[in-house]
Amino acid sequence: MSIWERKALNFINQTSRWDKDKHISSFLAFSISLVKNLTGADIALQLEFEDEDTAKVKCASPVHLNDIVLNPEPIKKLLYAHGFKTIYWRELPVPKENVFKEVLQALSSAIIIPVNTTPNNSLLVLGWSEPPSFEPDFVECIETIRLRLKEILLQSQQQLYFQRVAIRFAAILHTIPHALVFINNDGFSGWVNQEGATLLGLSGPGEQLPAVLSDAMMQLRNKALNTEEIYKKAVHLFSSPENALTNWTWQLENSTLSVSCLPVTTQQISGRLWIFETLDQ
Amino acid sequence: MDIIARNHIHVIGNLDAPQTLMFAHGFGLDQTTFSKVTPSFESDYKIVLFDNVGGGKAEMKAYSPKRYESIHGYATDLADIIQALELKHVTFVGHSVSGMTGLLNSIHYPGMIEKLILLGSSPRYLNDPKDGYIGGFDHLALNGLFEAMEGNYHAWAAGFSKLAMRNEDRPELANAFADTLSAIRPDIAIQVAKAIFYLDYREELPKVTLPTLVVQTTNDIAVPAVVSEYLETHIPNSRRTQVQTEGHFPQVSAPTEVIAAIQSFL
Repeated sequence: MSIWERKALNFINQTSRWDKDKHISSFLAFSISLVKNLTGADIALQLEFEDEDTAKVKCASPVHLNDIVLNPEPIKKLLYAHGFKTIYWRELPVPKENVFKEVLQALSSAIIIPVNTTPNNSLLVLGWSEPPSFEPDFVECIETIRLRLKEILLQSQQQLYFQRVAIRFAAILHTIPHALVFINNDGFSGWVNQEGATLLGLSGPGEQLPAVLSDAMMQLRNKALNTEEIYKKAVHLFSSPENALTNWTWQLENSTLSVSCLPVTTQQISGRLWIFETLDQ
Repeated sequence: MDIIARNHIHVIGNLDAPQTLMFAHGFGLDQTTFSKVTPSFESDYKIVLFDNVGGGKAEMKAYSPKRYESIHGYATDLADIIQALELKHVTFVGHSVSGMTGLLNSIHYPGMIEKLILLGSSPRYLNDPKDGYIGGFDHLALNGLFEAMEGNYHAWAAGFSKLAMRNEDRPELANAFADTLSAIRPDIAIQVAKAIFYLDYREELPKVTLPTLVVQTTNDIAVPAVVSEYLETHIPNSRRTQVQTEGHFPQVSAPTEVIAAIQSFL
């Protein structure tokens, strides 16, 4: 096994063993730093195409290159001219033709590695002051790293996207003044907002087992003064998974709840959303 | 996009002059802020004036929240302008945040600018107690600033313009600033203000290799005198001068002194 084959394997091994307890945003930075070390590059950075006017430097080593903004258009032209394949510059183009001159100062050679993902395409730039010999094993190593980097980038982008979505929806649902409880039909997952957690006497909002939620809701129902009426409507409600019920009154000792129970059915999820609204006495 | 239209560029003065003076306005202003300064240089210099994207008469559709999330986007715009106009021997006069834009440009695009003049500029507005750095603002002050901007932008603009301009005996100066500040789309103004007030380029200062003049006014709400001392200390080939006027806009309140300071450096 050649030294470059070992380095490619090393990259795959180390990135596979990355500590998943760490925040996902550090995964790509860790991986790029690893590429830099394995290839002996003097600089390494990610350039992300954020919109049609913005290609931004991220995960850079040295860090002072972070946040530099480059114009995407000339870079895209270069990538297109090379068929979106890795570009190996044994010698840097003259500054007028070097679309990366801002980040490749005082260097003599570079590699541009396009990593196509959606929605934001990226590329990796490696630069050397002493040119490495771009021998076939080295090229093979870079191409292996490129494939793994694409996986890492996709994983990072997806996880960050899901985190953002989760944060946004949690914020919205926790702001709603009604108590909300969602029970998934899979039997394994449920969710409650802050108002719901308070109403049901749970330790806190967020993910809860459906069994815990059902038990807490049963206890609430049993406290009602009109349990018989509630029970009758419940029998009808649960006679079909498509049934919905609104303006369902649960008369408690100190308050009256207007309860809605709505089926939630999408391609990805199926369950019931319970909405508890406290009526003025 | 056409760079000339994007930044509403005007080239005036002696178009055949070998030297170029480039003036860049600060937050809430436009290129007309230098109207009392530029006539003194028109016979000897090619003078380039432009509006930063998001302000003045720059192309509104060119504003990208991503590109201008930090002032690096403006430093790249500056490189675009210098390249598009094929400017040589550029002395860059940057007011307020644009001083830092020019400074970043000089580091990332070496050779484009030959001399830097920083007019009321700061490498960081936020105090940093850990390093004993005084920028003039603490978190509480900045949170209050952004709350006020988000709450009622136009009322904030009217109040801030008076504080920043000083020169209470000439209220027309603050009124004029309030007008240009109010003309900015509030969401853009707030994003740009955050990019400015949270910037920190102290580590970039020692990398500047150009001759640099730091111009400080007295009683500047945005940039205390200690900040200009900090700039002078940390930019290797720099010197500092003080103009005798209050407020953050010496080019407006004391143009004669600013002209003299620039001439002494050129």
